[in-house]
Amino acid sequence: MKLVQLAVVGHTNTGKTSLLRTLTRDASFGQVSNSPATTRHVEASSLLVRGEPAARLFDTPGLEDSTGLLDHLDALRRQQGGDAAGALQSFLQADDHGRFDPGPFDQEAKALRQVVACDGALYVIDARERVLAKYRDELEILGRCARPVLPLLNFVADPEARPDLWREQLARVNMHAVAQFDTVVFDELGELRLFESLRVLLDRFAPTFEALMADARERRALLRRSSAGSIADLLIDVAALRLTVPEGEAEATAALASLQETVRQREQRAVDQLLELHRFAPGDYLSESLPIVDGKWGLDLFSPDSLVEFGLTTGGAAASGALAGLAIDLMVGGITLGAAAAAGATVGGLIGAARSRGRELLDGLRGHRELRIEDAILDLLALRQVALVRALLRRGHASQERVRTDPPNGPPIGDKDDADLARALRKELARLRHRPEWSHLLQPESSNGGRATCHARLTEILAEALEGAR
Amino acid sequence: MTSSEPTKPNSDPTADRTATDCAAADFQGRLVAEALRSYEAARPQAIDDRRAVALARACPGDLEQKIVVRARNLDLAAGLTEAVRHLRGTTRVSLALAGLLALVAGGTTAHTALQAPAATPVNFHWALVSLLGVESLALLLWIAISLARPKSASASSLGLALAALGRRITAWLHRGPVQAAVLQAAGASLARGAIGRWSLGAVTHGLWLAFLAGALAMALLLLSAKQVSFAWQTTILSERSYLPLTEGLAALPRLAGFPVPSRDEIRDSRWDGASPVSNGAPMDASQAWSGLLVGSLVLYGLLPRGLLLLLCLAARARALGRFRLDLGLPEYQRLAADLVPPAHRDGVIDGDDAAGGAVPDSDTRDEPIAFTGPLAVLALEIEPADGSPLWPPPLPGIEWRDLGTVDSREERERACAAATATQPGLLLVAVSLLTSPDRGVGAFLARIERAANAPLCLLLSDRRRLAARNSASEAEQRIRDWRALLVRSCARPGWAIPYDLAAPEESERAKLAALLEGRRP
Repeated sequence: MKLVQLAVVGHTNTGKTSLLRTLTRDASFGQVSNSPATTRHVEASSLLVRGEPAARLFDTPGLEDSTGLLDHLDALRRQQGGDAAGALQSFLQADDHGRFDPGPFDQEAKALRQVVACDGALYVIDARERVLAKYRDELEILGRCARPVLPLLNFVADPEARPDLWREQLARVNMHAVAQFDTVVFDELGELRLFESLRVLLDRFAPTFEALMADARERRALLRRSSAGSIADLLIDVAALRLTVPEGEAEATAALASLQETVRQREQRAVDQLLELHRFAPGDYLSESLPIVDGKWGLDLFSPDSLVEFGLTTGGAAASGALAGLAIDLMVGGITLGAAAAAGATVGGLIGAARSRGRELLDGLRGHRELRIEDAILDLLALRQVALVRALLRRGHASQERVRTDPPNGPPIGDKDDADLARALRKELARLRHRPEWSHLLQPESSNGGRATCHARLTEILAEALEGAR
Repeated sequence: MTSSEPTKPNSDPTADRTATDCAAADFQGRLVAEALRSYEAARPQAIDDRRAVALARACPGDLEQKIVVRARNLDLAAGLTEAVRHLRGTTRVSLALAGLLALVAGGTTAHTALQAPAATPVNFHWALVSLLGVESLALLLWIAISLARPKSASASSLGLALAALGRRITAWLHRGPVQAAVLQAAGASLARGAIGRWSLGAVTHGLWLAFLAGALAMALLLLSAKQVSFAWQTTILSERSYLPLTEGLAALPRLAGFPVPSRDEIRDSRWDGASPVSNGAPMDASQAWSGLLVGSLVLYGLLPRGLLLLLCLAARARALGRFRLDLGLPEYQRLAADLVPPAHRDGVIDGDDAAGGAVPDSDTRDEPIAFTGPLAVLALEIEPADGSPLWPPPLPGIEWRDLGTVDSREERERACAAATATQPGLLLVAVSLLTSPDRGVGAFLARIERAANAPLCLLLSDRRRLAARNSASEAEQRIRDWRALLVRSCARPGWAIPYDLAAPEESERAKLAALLEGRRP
């Protein structure tokens, strides 16, 4: 695997730094803004395969005055004679006195020097732009660098993008291999196609790009699986959670508050873990608005509104529950483990609608109640996390927008697939109801192969649901 | 809680690297890593040991290898390895005890089976069934379940029961977070498919083998030290069905060289329960019957169990070799960010030596423009506006000299020449806010200003589209950037106002009209 060096060039403000951020999954690389000439130096970052650098990408200052530079180069050529490529060479080199005077074209010189020093270049285009003469001039100058150039259409997910127009124009200057890759709305297939195009263009480095593609695929699959695993952990912890509450109104209120708080904190931890897995760091974004605390995520998990939002039927109990939408399964048990608890749990499950009557009956018998999370809340918890992962999977590391669970291009929430997913999860989670020892919220060090098996099954179901988010 | 020793500087983590550090991951190493995962999963934070991470990163290999190397180099590793060793030791002892029990059970069974009241022969078939019956049934069941559900370990119920018992005992013997983590890891790796299946199978077969070995040993002991005579009996079956049954049973032992009773000897060995034993079977017939008993035990009992034990052990060894960490687990993927990062920053290569970063704030004017001469207008790098009723901006009492749409180098030349020829009092340049105000545009603005010898007024179009694309505040920033460019590029003070060419708002139109009121005839 040979290291391939690629210069990332383009007009100012087309998203060169954004491209590096997204390809390197490094949300804090360089500086990004909507103003021109944000990047004024050449900065590099390497894509690693198994820890070894495979491709080194050079972020360059934007080309701003290609029209002027072309005039300048033509003047140089007339002055010195020779061909166009020679004129470019002498523009980029210092003169005999070691002086280097690019005139007003300092930024352009930096970028072009990098192109010449590299194996090839990625020419980043804002596909929302019209094909202006200055872009054609940039292509003309890049052509004189005598390096393979792959045009890359950025912002193709934007409704205003005109990729076809650009392809047509690029074909006119004999550039037929064109990559499409949106740095903000991430598309994993787009990334693979980008590497594939580079592999064809730079066939000397074919094994490198193949390694990069294999690595990208593997990382992606693992990312999906580990996200599913993270959600599975959350669901097991919450579904198996069971509090034993002594008789009494005050005790019930206190236990409920503690249950709510425990679950909320657990969900927040899951969100933090997912962000970490996807290499989005909440801390980095605080000022630039990634926090999930507000917006949709700020909704109270336990409010009936929140349930309705996700299109869940709450089975009556949840919505009408006297305690902030949380329905409680109050059952017998807590004193004895084993048969009595299992029998009590079964009874508790069967009672269903007649829960309150059964509760009174059994309460009277045992003097203890059990508190756990209602099924509808579990559904909501699962779907929210799945929606978050879907959003994260489609989020480029150049994105400056908030993470939203209803992205414009994402799948709608509360549709049929989600209902199917919720059903499949419920089936698995039902088994957990009688396994409070599996909840790490109660027993962080419970050692049980059964939890691992259950975790694997849940992961499978969730990973399949996330597969749909390609 | 367990960070690396603070006395050792971490500046060169590879300095104290020994040769074994990068050794390839084996089952033991993976088990330790898995135990560590359980340990860390039960805590809010993973152990943060930069030294171990640096060592792992320095080793070649994939993520799994690096995870194993990291686990191996943590301070906790010794404790975990010790716990694994303990678990292994406990398992061995339990297995040995269980095997001993099985051995004794087999011997007892054989003793009971070959015991007959005085002066009565041992019923051969009855003895054989009590020795091999349950075992063969269990074997057939194992085979059947293994074939029907090859992915499940449920066939090895004996092994499962022992494992459940063993877990209780181990959990009771070794208490503590590290031990719990190791137990969890062992349980998880066993629960996950092949290793558990074949291990439990091996335990099941091994125990039956011990049982049969005990039975064989006891049978041989009894047959060598005591005079046992064999016979067979029946009440409702005929002799004709017993003969071929016994001969069929004897076929394999005969092939293997065991002495087996001949047809006549079988016939003669029938015992009616009344005659004296010596009448039932002669001495050499008894030897032949014992040969058949021993041969059956070996060939129908020990041999298949022994072969299956070997098969399970081989499959288990293969499964152990193939055991891989489930890298899709979130705990491992969180480590991956540190161990095999997707990218590495190489830093700034070619620094910004022109310290022109500071952009002067906008200094364009807002008051009416005082000028004389015709009004010229041109569209720079925006959609051709020719033919549009809104181009040039229709204002009452204003007549425009249209210099056209400017994009290419030739068009720029032409526009400059036209500007010089027109000698306007003011030049309106319409641009789109969607494009970035770059230096190239600045150069052209400077040039056309010189050519026209008149102040410029920028009409900034598409504000609403930009606001919809990004945000209102971004649009405002873009307007400031354009103003700054105008200030930087032009010698004369100029104006820059938002004005949507496609659909001008009334306020924009009014603003433009008000600006132009300073025109003197």
